[in-house]
Amino acid sequence: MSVPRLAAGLAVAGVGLWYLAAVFVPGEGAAAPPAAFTSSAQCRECHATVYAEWERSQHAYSWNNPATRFLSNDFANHDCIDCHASRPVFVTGIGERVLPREERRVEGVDCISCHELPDGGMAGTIADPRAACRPVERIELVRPEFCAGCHNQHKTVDQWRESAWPARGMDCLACHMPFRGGDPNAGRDHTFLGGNDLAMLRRAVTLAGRREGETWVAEIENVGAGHAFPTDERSRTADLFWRPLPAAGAEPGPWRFLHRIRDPYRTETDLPITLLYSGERRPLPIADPEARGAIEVALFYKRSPYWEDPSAPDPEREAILVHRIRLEP
Amino acid sequence: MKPLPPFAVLPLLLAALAACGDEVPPAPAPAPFPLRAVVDAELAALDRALAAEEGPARGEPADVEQVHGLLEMLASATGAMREIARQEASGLGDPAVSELARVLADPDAKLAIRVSAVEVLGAIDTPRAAAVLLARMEDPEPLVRAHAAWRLGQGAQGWVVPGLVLRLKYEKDHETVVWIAGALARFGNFAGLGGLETVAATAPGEAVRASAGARIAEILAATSFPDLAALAAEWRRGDPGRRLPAPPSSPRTDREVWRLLSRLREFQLRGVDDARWVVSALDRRAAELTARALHDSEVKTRVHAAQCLERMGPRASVAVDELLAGLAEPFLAPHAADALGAIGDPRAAAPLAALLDPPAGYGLRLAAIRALGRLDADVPGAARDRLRSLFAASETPEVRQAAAESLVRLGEGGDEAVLALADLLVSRAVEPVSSEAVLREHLARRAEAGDEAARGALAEWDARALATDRILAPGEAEASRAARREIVRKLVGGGE
Repeated sequence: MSVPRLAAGLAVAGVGLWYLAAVFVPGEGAAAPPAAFTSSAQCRECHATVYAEWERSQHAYSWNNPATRFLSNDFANHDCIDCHASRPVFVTGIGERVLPREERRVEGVDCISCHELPDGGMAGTIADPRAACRPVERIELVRPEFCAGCHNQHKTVDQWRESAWPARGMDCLACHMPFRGGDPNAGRDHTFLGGNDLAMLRRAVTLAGRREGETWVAEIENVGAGHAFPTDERSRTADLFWRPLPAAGAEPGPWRFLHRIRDPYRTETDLPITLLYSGERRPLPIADPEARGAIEVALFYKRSPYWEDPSAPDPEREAILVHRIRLEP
Repeated sequence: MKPLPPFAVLPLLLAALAACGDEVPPAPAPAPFPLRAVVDAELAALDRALAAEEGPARGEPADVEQVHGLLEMLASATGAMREIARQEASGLGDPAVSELARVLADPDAKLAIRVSAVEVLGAIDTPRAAAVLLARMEDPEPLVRAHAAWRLGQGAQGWVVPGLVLRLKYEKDHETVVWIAGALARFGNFAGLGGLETVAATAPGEAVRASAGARIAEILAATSFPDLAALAAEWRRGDPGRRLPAPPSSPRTDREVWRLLSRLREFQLRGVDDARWVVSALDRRAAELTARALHDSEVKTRVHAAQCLERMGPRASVAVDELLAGLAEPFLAPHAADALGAIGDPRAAAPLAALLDPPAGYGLRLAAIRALGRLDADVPGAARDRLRSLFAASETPEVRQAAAESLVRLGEGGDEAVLALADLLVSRAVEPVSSEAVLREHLARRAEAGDEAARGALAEWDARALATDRILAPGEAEASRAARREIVRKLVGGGE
C-alpha cells in the first residue's frame, strides 16, 4: 500500500470518526452503559424511584416468597421457575410463554425480565439515547399480551378479555401500574399492587346480605376486578365465614365456613372451580338454623389454600379480613 | 466549493477503511446445530406406520348380550365356572372392547360388573383394550383404578408405561399406587419404587402396607436385588451393568414418548410439567428420543427436552453427544450444560471448561461452572484452576457462589470455599438452596470418613433444617440459615 494512499485513508477515516462521535455518542451526563446486565441492582443508580417501588413488589419477591417456596416444593416443581425467574419477555416473545433463566433467580421478576431486548439493549416506553441504558421505545410494554406469558398461565388475561373491561379501555396497567399520582408525566408505579394490597382487595368485591324468609342470603359480587376474584395462582383463596352475633358483652363464637372461592390445584380433581368472575354476583344462602337471628358475615383472603387446623380454621389470625358485615333482622 | 453534507462522509469513510485494510480471515463459524420440526415429523411418521393397525375393530361386532352374560358370571361365579367365563371372555377380542368400555364408563353399573369388565379387557390384552384400561385410570372409583393398573401390569402392552407414570403423579389411593408401581416394574420401569416404599412404610391400614410389601418382595425377587435402595440406584444410573429387565420397545411406545415431547411446547405449563415429569421417569430409549427433540425448531421443546434429560440424570447418558452439540445453540446451551452436569459423563468436562469465560453468556457460564462441580474426578486441572480464580475474583456473588460450590464438590476449595458458602447462606444476593445442599454433602462426606466433629455438625445441621411441611414464618428461613452458617464456621475454624 502506498504512503499517500494510506495518509488519505487515515484522514478520511478521522473525519468519519469525528462525524460518528458527534452524532451518536451521548454528551456529558450520560454514564457508560454496562457491558452486560447481570443484575437489576445495576438499574438502581439511575432509576432509584422505580427500583425502590419494584423492591417492594411481589415481582421482586417472586423467588423468595415463603409461600411460593412451600407451594412449589422449593421449586422442585420446575414449571413454577419459568415465570418466577423468567428470561426476558422480549427474548422469548410477546404473548409467548416465558422460559426459565439460569442467572439471578433470587431477583425474581426483575427489571431485566421486562425491559431487556434480545440484543442486550433496553426497552422503555420512551426512547432516550442519552440515558446510560439507551432505552428504545417499545409500545408492547404496556399491552396485556406482554403480561400474558406469565399471567395467562392461570387464565387471568383470558378472564380480562372476556370481561367488560377491555371495552371500557381498562387494561392491566390501568389498575396494576397506574401513573404515579395520576400524572402521565410522572411515569408508572412499579409496585404492581394486586391481591397483596388490602385497598385493592376491598375495591375488587362487595359483600352484602338480604333476608329471604327465615334465611339470610349473603351476596358477594366482583365489581372492581377486570378478571376473576381471586385470580392467577391457584393457591389464592377467598373464604366466606359467618357466625351468630353474640349478645351484648358476650364473646363471639368461632367463625363458621360458608363458601370458598378458588381455582383448585390440578391434583385436587375432586374440587370444583369456584372463581368469582368479573361482574359476577353470587348469592349464598346460610341455611343453618342458628343463622336465623343476627349474624355477621366476613370475607377473608389468603395466599395459601391451607388452614393450620382444617377442622377449626382461625381466619382472623391466618388470613386477611377483606369485608365484614352485620345482618340483623 | 459547497461543503459536503455530513452523511456524504460515510461512504468516503467506508471506502477509505476498505482501502487501508488488509484481508482478515473470517473467524471460524461455530459448528451448526441444525433445527427442524423434529417432533411433528416423528409423530406423523409413527402415526402413518401405526394407522393400519389401528383401523376399525376387525371381526364381527360382539354380541352385547353375550358380553353382559359373561360379565355377570365373572362377577358372581367362583371356581371352575368362573375360569370358563374368563377364558370365553378373553376370546371376545377387539369387537367387544367398545361395549366393555361403555360398561366401564357407566356410573350406574354395579361395581362388581365394572371390575369384571376390567378383567375382561385385561384378558383381551390388545392395544385397543389397554387404551380403555388406561383411560379408566382416571375413574372416580379407586377399586376400578387399582384393578386396571393390575391388569395392565399382567398384559403385554408395554406402551402403557408413560400413561401409568403420569397416573403416579396424581394418584391418591394407596392401593392403586401399589399396583401402578408393580405394573411399571413388570415393564422394566422403576419410577414407582419411591411411592411403593412410602406406602409400605407409612400408609394407614395394615392391608395396604402388606400389599406394598408383597409387591416389593416380588420386584426384588424378579430383579435379584437385595433391597430397594440398590435397585433404585441401578435404575437411576441407567443400568450400566444391564442387570434390569429390558424395557419393552416398540413403535407404539415411541409414539407415546413423542406425544409427550409434543406437549413441551404448549403455552400452559400444566401440560408441560406433566410431560416433563413423565419423560424424566422413563428409560434409555426415551432419553434417546428426547435427545433428538433437542433439535426441534420450537425453542420451548428444546429447552424442556434438556430439562427432562437433566432430571433423568445418568440414565440419559445416551444423550451426551447431542447435549454437547447443543452447547452451541444459545437458547438451549445453559440447559444442556445443566443436563450434562446431572448426567455426569466425563466427555462433558472439556467442553464445559471451555465455557467458563466470555464470550459465553453469563447464564451459560454459571451453568458450566455448576455442571463441572458435578463431574467429580473428570474435571481437568486447568478447569479446576480456573474455578479457583473465578472464586477468588468475586466477579458477581453468583459466580463466586457457583465456583465455591463446584470447588467444594470437587474437594478443591479447602476451608475458604466452605466458609464462603456458609457466608452466602445469609446473603440476599444469591439463592442459598444449592449452597445448603453442597454444604450438607460436604458435612456428610466428612462424617462418613470418620470425622467426629463433622458428624456432630451434621446432626446439628439437620436439627436446624427448614421445615418443609408448612409455609415458613417471616424471618424463619433466615434464622435457620444463620444458625447453620455458625455450625459450619465453628467446624472449619471460622467461628468466633
